[in-house]
Amino acid sequence: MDSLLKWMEGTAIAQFILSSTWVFPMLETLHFIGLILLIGSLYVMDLRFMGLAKRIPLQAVLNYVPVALLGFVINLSTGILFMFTDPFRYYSNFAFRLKMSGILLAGLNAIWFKFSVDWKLLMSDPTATPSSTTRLIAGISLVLWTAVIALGRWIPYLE
Amino acid sequence: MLEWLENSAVARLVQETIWGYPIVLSSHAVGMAILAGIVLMLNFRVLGLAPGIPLDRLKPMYRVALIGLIINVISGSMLFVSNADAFFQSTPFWIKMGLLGAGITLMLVMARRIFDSTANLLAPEPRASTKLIAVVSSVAWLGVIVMGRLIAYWDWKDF
Repeated sequence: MDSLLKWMEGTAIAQFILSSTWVFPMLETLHFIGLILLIGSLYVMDLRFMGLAKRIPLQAVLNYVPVALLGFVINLSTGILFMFTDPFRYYSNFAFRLKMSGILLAGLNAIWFKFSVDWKLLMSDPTATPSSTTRLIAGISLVLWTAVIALGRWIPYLE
Repeated sequence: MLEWLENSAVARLVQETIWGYPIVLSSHAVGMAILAGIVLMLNFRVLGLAPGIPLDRLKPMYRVALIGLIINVISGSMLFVSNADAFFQSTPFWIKMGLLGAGITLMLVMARRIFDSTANLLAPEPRASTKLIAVVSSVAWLGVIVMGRLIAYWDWKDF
């Protein structure tokens, strides 16, 4: 891990981001825009699967999935670029580690969602009430992603 | 006035307790995701994403966005009083306030138009002018986020 972090620190990309006053703030802004695409679409989907706005057809709310994926790709890319600028600091930062664990858990939770939902029932009856397991998974997703946002903001304050 | 704000009990709480500042800052980020995230998703629906969702059925999601607005008016005011003088002199802060006013106004106008179920029954897809509002509103909210981030970099002498 040490050699990887050392390599990141010495790359041209790290030098480039740090060379200008404006590259880092621009990446941060992009990270915030990716954040609202990712979290905004997830909130709408999670809340629907938790039972809010029951009159929204379930299959239609899934049209927001590509928005979530776009937000995730933007934030994965900009997030990795942040890491290049100060890899040792991020790697050892407690809030960063908690944030990454939150993202990992949210990913596993999404896989659980995919395989546990009775898709046949939900697609044939758009207003069917999701099972208690499905509602629980959606609730976990909402809590985890909210924690991920908060933890990201804590990185500069929890060394 | 600004000095009085900075010496108020709320300001002291944010400035002087170790966790005060990051707690308020992370609440502001979570409120942003709820508010701007959900407003953006409503705008995307108006612009043609997820056509299977009848517009007026999104109203519960809009109410959740208003919770985000409340969180951010409170956390934003706390951040402001903690360093009122610097915010007052910050150009991006005032641009952000202007865009915020525009964003909130357009959000309210949009809600009046799309959550009228009788109108939806007659014409399920929004008028061209409503779509234009969705575009301008999205730009305004993204601008709010960009300017919010720039406050920390532009002419900021106090941190």
